[in-house]
Amino acid sequence: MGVRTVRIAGALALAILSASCAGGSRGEVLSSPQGFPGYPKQAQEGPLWASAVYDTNSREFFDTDFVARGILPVAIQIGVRGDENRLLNARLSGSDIDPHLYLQDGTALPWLPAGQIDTPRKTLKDRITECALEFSLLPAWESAPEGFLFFAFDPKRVEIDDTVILSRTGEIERELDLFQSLLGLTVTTEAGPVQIFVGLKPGRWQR
Amino acid sequence: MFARTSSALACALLVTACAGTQVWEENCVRLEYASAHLDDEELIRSARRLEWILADTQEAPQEFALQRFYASFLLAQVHARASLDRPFFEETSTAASRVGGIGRRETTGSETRPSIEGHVAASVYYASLARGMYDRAARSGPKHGEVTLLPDDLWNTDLNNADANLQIILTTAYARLGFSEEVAKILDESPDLVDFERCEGLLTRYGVLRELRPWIFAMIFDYLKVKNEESAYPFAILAVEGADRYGFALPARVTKRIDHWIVDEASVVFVCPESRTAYIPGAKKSPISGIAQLDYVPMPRPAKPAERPGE
Repeated sequence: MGVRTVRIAGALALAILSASCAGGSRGEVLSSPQGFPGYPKQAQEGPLWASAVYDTNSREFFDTDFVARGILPVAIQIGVRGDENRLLNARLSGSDIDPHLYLQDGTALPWLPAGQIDTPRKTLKDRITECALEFSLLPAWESAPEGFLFFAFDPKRVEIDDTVILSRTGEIERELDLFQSLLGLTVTTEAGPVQIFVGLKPGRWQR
Repeated sequence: MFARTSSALACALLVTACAGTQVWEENCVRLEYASAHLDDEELIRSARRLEWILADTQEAPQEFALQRFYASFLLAQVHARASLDRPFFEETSTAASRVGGIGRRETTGSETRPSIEGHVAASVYYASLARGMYDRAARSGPKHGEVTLLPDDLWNTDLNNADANLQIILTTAYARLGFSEEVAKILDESPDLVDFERCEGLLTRYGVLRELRPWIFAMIFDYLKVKNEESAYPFAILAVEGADRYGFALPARVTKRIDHWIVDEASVVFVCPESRTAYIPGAKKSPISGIAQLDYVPMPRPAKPAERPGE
């Protein structure tokens, strides 16, 4: 029996289900794993520390619905613990940072630099610029401010509703937990580039 | 919130009634295909077939527990394998060129590139999915009516060994992502895995991908080097000799870091037990005795000559 036959059998079952189950079916949805605690919410790569926060009230914070526009803002805090930065000269640089947000299923959301976010509203443009992660020498972790990175997604492929994501590949849809996503970026140091990864955590943005 | 309103029981009954034994048979064929093609160019096709198993049986997870477990298990293997040197995910890059810590090859500044990290994340996702299905799978019988649920080679993968394999995939992914504290917690509870005499035997018993082993040994080396340098050394050698021994070479920055520890950072030096020649990065054996560097022994590191005044 070929795959096609199975799909027809599945379609038949789903057709019956749509008549018998309230709300019908969204199709072939894989659910999120139960019991996976997610990635650590505090990254430590040597003296480099980082955290990444998503606030479900992002609309309130920016006075615009970024998610509806296919943009996911994430607040990053990144800094150096101890006195080692004199040796490391660790810094963020726009040409090297190359951040990505990896959804649970491995879908990589690319970085959208703040300057590339198009908006006719000057107040929003100013707000984005003001809040964007600064590319400079990393400060001490304890005093490192939060700064935003913006990630782009194709609403046809990725749908985000609060903290639940529907990720589509072909005819398969996966229901994912936003807070089990993984953020990766690169810090430039005297010893070369250092990749740092951290799990996305829920929180309220600070500034 | 996305509505998932269907009744699981009704769905299970409907899927079972509509599909007869066909779904079980077809799933078995898909599992056989994927299991046979974990080490060739068929990873994408394997992944697609395995995902269809999960999708087609999503509404009746108990009925298909064993097949769903092994589909997720094999998907974790597919993505772990792809994350080494067969990536089929892509990501957009803004960096001109870099060498990353978890396996990135140097890029040429093109807009898209293979997504190693995407595959690592996917291996974690499917390994977690499979481990969440373990209890149900363990309660499942080997047959549905007259239909055998698994192909022969998966019958040879004991469920407990498969679960241990998944735990190793998860732990290695954590190590590659730099989550060393979490790795240490897991390895603290795995004394047999960090025992050199037992480790390879366990990996073989669990059916762990050969190509993943250099990463596993690098992970164990990092764990042991601060606890017991002599125990860490042979794992370091297996990691840096991964290309010859296991068909996968770790990124140069990882092997350089390991070599640097052996040559400069460890409190002891590792030397040939006969010729006393010290470890040489890149050499497989002593140039004098021909003894493999894996069999080198520790000896106290000679004190550095004191600097003379004025130098």
